[in-house]
Amino acid sequence: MDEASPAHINITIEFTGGLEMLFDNIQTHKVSIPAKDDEGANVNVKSLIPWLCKNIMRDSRKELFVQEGSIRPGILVLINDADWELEGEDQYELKEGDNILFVSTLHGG
Amino acid sequence: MPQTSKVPNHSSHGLSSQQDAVKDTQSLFADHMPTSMTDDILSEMGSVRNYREGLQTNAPLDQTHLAHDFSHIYTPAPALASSRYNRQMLIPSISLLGQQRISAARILIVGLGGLGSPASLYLAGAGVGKLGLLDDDDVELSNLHRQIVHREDSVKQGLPKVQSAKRACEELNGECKVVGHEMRLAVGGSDGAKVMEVFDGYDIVLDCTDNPATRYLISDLCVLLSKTLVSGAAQRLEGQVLLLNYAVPPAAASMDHTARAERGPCYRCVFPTPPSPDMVLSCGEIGILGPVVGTIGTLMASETLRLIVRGLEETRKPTMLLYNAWPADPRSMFRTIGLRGARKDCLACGKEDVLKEKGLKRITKDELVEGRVDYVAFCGVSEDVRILKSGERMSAQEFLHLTAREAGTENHQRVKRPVIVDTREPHEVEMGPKIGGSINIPLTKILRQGRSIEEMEALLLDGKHDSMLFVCQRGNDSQIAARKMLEARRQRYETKAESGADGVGTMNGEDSRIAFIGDIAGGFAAIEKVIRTSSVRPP
Ligand SMILES: [Zn+2]
Repeated sequence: MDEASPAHINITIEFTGGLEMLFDNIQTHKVSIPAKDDEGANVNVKSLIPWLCKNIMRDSRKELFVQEGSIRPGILVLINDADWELEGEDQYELKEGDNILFVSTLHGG
Repeated sequence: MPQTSKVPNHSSHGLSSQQDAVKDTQSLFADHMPTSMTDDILSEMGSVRNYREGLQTNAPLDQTHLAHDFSHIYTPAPALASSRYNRQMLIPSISLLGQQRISAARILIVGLGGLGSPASLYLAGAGVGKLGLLDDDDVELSNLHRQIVHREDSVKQGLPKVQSAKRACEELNGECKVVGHEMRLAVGGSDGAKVMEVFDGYDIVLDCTDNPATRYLISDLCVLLSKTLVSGAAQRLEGQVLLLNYAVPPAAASMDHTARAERGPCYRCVFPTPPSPDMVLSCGEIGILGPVVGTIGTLMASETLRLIVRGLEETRKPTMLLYNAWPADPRSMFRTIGLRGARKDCLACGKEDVLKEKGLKRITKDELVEGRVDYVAFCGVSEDVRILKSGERMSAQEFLHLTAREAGTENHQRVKRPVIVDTREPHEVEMGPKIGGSINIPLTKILRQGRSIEEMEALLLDGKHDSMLFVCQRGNDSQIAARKMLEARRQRYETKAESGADGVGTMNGEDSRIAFIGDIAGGFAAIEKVIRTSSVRPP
């Protein structure tokens, strides 16, 4: 293991389109997350999601955020303002200073 | 207008309008150009003036000159340049060609609500050649705070939105051909072919609707008919705008200079699976601020004009604009995010062979027209939530009669009353009707890992109550709350029953002291209906 690698990395998590309702009504969360997941692998977006549910979600309706183990339909995940599908989806390994934005689609008109 | 000292001031001795125009031009340039450049232009203009002054000092013009034909040396300004569109034509990137394109464009606006209102007004004002308006709704009073194309008068007359908006657009610009399509956007039966025909008469479509099923249908129609789609949405204090089915640059990986522009994503590419219906709330349920939806509608009009003027061939990376009117950080009021490109396995715009490999087939025109693509089923019916069993629900009628009877009972002591838990959010309670003696614990609080369950349990067992009734606006949240309470109690009494440490009857995990835990079916909406239509007076 790389000695210089820190135990935690600092990232910004943002919620829009009403999703913030599930996260204490706060749109921007500055969080410090463990750099490694339970298996010792570098933390990626996939392992970030249960971490968010466990640590910053304040509503028991998890299904409004996660369905069948992944982000529910209608939510876009943006890694540093780019669609996560351009960045390797949930396999994207988080880096210090990353911004992860969850956008819930709006329908009103 | 400010003037520089270099400009000779002639205004003291009555200038002709032509000289005025020259002076204006000088000031205009002087205002916007670096000094050295202004000097050059001013000296040039000075020579024009000298030339004209020279003419004026010569003998008076022979009147017969006026009868001469100057067409070989003089072409009048195009009529369009001095038209009502002059101010937008002064923008270099629009100019004459841009306005000609605008005047020839055929634009369809689907939905004449909060988005369609400013979009239709701005596009009519800009002078689009043909403006189609499609909707099947009537104007209501609750629309007016944001749907600025409509007027109180339309509400009084009970006008369809299409007629109301058409009138406003025509009043604004009599030159714009406004076509009303008063129809439901639906496929199947005779509707499909009609919808297809309407869409085919336009170049660009604006999706100003308010529900996922219509959004998927509009997108599929645009893919099948190769129309560019400008899509917007807004709710509460937020909005989103995106261009769909639009030319995007060739894939970055391809360094081939001959690579052709590709088609950008459609709505299905961006959102292949619709959100579950209980996540989709209408403006009527969660609210919307007028200027927020107005901003999005205005941005849609602006995007449309850009598409018209720059041409549909111009490529642009797929993006989505997010707008948050009241952001925590003012820098994030507007934000543009990069979207993925088209999906090769998209059911609407994907590649036939890729879909085939996955055992899928692309949606065809015939399927769509014949109504074989069920958009409502695809997006789920946002029916009333059914979480409680019928035995766990009390009708509004029954609730009102029971409460009225209790109030009439002389011996109050003997009757245990229900704990009535109002699960609406505080601002909803404030604006809505209330039930006497009820307590307000919002659903969001009940669902949070907190103490609200314990609080409710304590009330239920205080000896004055024998039941608990949850109530909300429409009878959806109340079911979720009641289920949560029932679940919490079941776990509690099962645990107690297993450990045998229980003094109360706990057969099958039941608490014999409690008669009923459930909700009022249909919530306040149902209660109000009963009160309106029967002689039962509110307790
Ligand atoms: Zn597509």
